[in-house]
Amino acid sequence: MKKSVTRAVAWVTAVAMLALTGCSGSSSSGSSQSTGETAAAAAEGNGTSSLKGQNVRVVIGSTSTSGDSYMIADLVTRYLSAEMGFNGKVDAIGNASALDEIKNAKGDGKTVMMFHDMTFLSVLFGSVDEQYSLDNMTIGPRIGQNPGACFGAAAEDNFNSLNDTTQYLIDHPDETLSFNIEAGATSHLAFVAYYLWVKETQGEEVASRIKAIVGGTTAEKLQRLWDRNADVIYGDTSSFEQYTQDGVEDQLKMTMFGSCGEVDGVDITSMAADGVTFNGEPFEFAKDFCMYFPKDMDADVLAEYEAAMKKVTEDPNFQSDMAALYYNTLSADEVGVEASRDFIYAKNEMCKDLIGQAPSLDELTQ
Amino acid sequence: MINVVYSTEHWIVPKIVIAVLVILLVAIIVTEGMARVKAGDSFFGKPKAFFIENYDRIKLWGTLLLFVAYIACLDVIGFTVTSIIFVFLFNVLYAGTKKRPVILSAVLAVVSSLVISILFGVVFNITLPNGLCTITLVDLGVTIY
Amino acid sequence: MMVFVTHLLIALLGVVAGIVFGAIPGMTATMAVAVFLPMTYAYDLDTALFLLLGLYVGGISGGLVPAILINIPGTPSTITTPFDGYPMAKRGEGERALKIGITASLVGGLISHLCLWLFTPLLSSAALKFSSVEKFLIILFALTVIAALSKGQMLRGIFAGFLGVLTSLCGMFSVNNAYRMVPGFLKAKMQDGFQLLPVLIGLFAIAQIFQEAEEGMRFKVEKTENENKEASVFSLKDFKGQGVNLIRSSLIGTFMGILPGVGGSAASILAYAQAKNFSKHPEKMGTGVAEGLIASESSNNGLTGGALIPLLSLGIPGDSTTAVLISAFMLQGIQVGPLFITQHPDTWNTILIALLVCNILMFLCMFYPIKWSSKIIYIPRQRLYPIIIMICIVGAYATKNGRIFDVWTLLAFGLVGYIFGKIKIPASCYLIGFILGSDLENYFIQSISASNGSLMVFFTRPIGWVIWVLIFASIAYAIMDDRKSKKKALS
Repeated sequence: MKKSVTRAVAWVTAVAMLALTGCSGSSSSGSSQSTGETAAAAAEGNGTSSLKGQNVRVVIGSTSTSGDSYMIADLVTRYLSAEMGFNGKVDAIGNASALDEIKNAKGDGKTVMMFHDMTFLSVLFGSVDEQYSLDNMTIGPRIGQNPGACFGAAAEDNFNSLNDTTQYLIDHPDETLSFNIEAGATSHLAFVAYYLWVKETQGEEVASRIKAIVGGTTAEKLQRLWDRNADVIYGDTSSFEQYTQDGVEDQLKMTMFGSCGEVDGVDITSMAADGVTFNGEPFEFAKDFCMYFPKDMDADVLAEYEAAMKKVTEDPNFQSDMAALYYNTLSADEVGVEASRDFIYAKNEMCKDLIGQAPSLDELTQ
Repeated sequence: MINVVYSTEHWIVPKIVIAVLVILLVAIIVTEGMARVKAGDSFFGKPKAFFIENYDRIKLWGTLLLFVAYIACLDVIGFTVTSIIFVFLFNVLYAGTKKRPVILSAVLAVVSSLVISILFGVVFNITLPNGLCTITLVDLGVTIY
Repeated sequence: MMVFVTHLLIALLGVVAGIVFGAIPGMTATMAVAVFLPMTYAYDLDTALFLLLGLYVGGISGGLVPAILINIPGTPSTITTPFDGYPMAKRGEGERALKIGITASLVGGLISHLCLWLFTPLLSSAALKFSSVEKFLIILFALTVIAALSKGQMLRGIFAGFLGVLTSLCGMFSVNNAYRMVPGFLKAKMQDGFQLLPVLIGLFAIAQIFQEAEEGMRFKVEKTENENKEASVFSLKDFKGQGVNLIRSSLIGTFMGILPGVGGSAASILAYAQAKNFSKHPEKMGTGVAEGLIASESSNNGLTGGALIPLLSLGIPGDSTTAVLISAFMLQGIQVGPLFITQHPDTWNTILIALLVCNILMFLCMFYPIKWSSKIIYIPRQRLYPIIIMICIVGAYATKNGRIFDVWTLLAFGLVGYIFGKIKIPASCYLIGFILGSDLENYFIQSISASNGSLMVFFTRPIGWVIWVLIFASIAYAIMDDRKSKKKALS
């Protein structure tokens, strides 16, 4: 055993060295390699902080390594690693585990959670315990926004905005429309906001014909749509876009509409632009990603993170990397710890209000 | 026909499975009991000894004890040092306390723990349990868990 | 030319690292791909693909080494490999078993590659015909293997299987975010229930260590050197009469890969069961015959090409590893979906070449060092087990990127497996139930929610009827087999 392990080690190191030298040659010939190069350049020595040379564990509340949570956390971690000189590593450990990790970690900055609104939504919806509420952690700088969550429907239905779906319900008094969403997540709130808005503007009867189908990954939701077991599904513009293009066969072809914010470079109307309001305000609900630290966080290290994030968010390379994935970058003022805390708490309040007004899913799924 | 109510649907399948398990359990007890009666034994048979005859008490309970202690120490001490200690103890437990085997045990423990720790923790950058004995070589940017 | 050499070296790195991950109990192809993903940021897409596909193929294949030599399936997709592989190794035929397994892996990989290359559009539209109803039935069908595996004590086998299903349901139900069967203080740790890897290596590796500790670590290979030397050496004769088995198993693997959302481990389970159902000597399966080994290994490599089919033609990953591959494409700004092959013909060609190259490299990297790797079985157990324990702990800890809870799971299921051995509950049936349980529930709930609770939905679709026929045939066959072996036991 030992023999074969050592042999394997020797193999891997030898081949790895060959491969790395081989690739530094080929990567420079590539076109869009900005991230690799900036990170490499920065790692050569201009990054410094009290965490220099340390391993920093970035936990995210998702278990997927292909969703937006991983993508944003990974991008930010790479730039922060370069800026602050640490070795950042994103660990996708899942919602409850991440919250638990932050509750029990030391406030030395070596453990960070980067996650979106689920952080407080999971407490508001009761899927995790009260002890994981915002009051028991330190809110750090915000890191970016994903405005791309949206509704999607089969192209043959010709739904191009939420007004079209509402109109369909008005025109067909015997029909219902089913919306495939996830409980306790952004899609739940966006759906509820739409439902409440229809109820307010079109009345109880029309709204009662909006049905929820709960659960599933993006892949499962797409398959429900293709099986025509759901009329409308909720997901991300970046995963839906390819099915909206010409040349896609009819069973798969989709339209997308009602995104939760304006998305640069994608032709889609947002919920606010469709006229959806909540408490009289246009409904904007982009997923906001933020850093969260343990409650007893060291103030100096937090300030270092804040300063580094301010620099990163103004780095044009970072901005273009984010834009390539259709994510929004924030301004240096917005990522300030003070501003971020106010922002996250305000959003928490708004969600609490929305959840308070929403009918239960038992009612919406029947 | 099953009544699917959203807030309780997490119990639909577990309830079915538990019901099936109860039925199967009864079926197993009855069929095996009948088979024993047929073979001239009593319905429930004689209770058999759980452990094999003359089982190795030290090795069995030692394994359990070391295992529990190993896991408990991981995120207090850190992966590498904990592993060196416990891989050594497991080796001693299984291979004996004579002088030569003990030296081999020590060598094996140190080498294997370091190889695994460096291969996974440093080369592959996998997060390993860290604790008091985790060291960071700041200049190299390398952490040995 | 230079580029091709670079790609070849990168693929070699991927394959070797993949094999290491696959061979280490508790590490999987998925983990290998996830670990190396950040490295690919600096590469162009072609290079990244050679690396990642190498890791995928290597990771799926490497699992057979510990499965055959120490009775520990290194990855969930090799769960049926030890059934016949380990008895062979115990007889001193480890080298032969490894060679059979690796050759079967290569064939499985190549057949699935052919499917990917030639039939992608066709197969992806076939996959679209499978809704949650059909998927539920397929998983039910895979569960019938439990009956086939537990001849002579079928009731206990089925009981173990359902117990496994029940265990897999502990945790939070992802549809309504409600917990069941979890004590309050474990809620934060058990949102996703027990993780498959620690359960798997606990039930097999750790339980085996406890059992041998009880026996005082006296394990020795019973070498039957002189008699039957002929049979213990690998030759292509081992594949004589196995052509149908080889192709059937590879295709089952490929098809399970094509079906999104049906876990890859179901592939080898189903293929093994079918090999048994069609075998001329079903009673020999499980005693160390090439047939079972071939079925298991060709099907799990068949998975690789299969799982890429829905990914590249629909944008839906076929298994957990291909799900990680999506990020590699996203980072390079390429959308995989229905238009991928027409819009990116070059990348598509690269994938085909890379997959072929990686399969061949996998074979070369595994076949030739067998002489040494097969010696693992002769390492004294008292020296081997401490290291296995450490490696299993690393694997368990890394399962969900670093949680001590998963290491406790490992130990707990080690004890469960040990106790199961004592009270004669087949651990393999339990594990199969555990693997398939959550998918079974997921598709059952999806199906009946869509039909408003009517169970008739399972009997109304033509593909469903076909699967029902298969299910009943499989059960009927298992009952006959059970009777036969009971009679044999009596006489």
